[in-house]
Amino acid sequence: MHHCHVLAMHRPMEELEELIRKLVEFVRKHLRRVLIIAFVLFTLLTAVKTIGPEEEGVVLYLGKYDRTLQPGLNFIIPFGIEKMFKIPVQRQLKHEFGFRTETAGVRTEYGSGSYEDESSMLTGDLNLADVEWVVQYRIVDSYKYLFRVRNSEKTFRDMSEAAMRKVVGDRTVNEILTVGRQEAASRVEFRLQEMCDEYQNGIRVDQVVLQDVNPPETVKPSFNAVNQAQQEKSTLINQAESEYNQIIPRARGEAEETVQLAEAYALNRVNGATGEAARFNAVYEEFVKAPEVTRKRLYLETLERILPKAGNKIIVDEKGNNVLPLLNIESLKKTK
Amino acid sequence: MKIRNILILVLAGVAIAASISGVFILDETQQAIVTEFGRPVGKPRVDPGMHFKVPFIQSVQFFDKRYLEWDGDVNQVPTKDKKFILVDTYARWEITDPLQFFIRLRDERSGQSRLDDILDGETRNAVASHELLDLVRSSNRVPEVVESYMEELEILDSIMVGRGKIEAEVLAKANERTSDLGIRILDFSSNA
Repeated sequence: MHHCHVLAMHRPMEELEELIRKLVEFVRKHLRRVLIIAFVLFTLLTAVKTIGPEEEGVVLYLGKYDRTLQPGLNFIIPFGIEKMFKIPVQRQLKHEFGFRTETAGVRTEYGSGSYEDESSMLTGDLNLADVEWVVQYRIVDSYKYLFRVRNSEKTFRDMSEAAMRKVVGDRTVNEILTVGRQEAASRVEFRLQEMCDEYQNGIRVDQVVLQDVNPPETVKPSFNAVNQAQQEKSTLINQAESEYNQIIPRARGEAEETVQLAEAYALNRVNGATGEAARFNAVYEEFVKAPEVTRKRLYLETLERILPKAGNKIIVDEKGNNVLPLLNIESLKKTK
Repeated sequence: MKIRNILILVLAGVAIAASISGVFILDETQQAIVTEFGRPVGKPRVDPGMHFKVPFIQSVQFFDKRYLEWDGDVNQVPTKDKKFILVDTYARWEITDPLQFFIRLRDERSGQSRLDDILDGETRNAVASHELLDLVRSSNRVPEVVESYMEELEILDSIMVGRGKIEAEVLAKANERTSDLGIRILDFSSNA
């Protein structure tokens, strides 16, 4: 048992030494062959290039553009005489501004970092807005992309930032937040493509998509309060309007009624008065014709009107020489 | 016999060194001027590929041929109406005349620092001589308004010059000042 253990301890070390010794011996023996194999391997590595289906290879021969290679297995002259750059021309690439995708997936996670220096910008009405957007683009001309502009990616980012700032600077904060989003995005797209054409950086802008556009973090509560106030305002207006609709028509109806009543009363009075005046005139005319008769008639008519109202009255003859000096009006009334 | 061998070896070595020193490769992205003891010789080399020069005596100065970026410092600058804004500037430029560039500025780093001086200065002048609104907006376009009650809030003071024109002005002035440096500035943007 003990013996075995010691052996197990020593064997790996010994084996390794043995292996190295053998390798050195082998190399010494076949030095030329090893060198040739290494040389061939190196040559193959620098000469054989595979290009993926979405890529194309731009080949420089002694620093000068020579040809563009298509996807598949390709060969170039080795040892740095020809150099190749792979450019993914078929792939749609994108740049994110104001945020970063951490892990894309069904539920994409976003980096929690703040990129305010990118996203915070001044609007035309001198408000700050936090604008996040995505630029989707493709490299359509790999030669121009590689050799026209140094640091193309950074340049492209700078360009799209400038385009966005310029467009946002020409719009009100309300437009950027609400109605003008689509219009602003397409304007940026247009401007950015214009700049790309000017620089000839070989990039075609596919789409500019506005993501979250927010008022800055510190302003958000106030902004929400304003929105809420606006909503409250419209609720109050609606309420007031419904109350108005209830009360005002009724009041109007009442007013109309009162006016009509008053008018009817006035008409009544005037008619009555006119009638009375006409009657008086008629009487007066009769009176002028025969004053005595008329006076008597008036007297009688008046008495006729008054006596029934007089009630239980006994009228006694002044001289009292009658058997029954009594005029019984009550009974007269009854018989009538 | 031995001396001859050594002589051959030395000669071979010199020949190899000479051929290496006599040839230089220009990349698609590069242009170069050849100098003889520091004095520029011949025309600038702008075509990519293999180029020759006199070995040992002449040396090569490489410059970039592409559009180069210049990114200004983010700076707080007062406007004409005395509001302080953070201004971030950037520009594209290229070396149009490598010979002139070499004589005036020697290398790209001093070129960048010269651009710093010129563009930062011009930016400051432009910002200081315009009002904030002019620096932010480019046009007097009428904003779209949905809610009618917002209408009076959305009426904007009109601008006199506009951002686009100010940028163009700075660009023109800066280009005037860099005209003898072998530099052309292509584009200038300021982000308020």
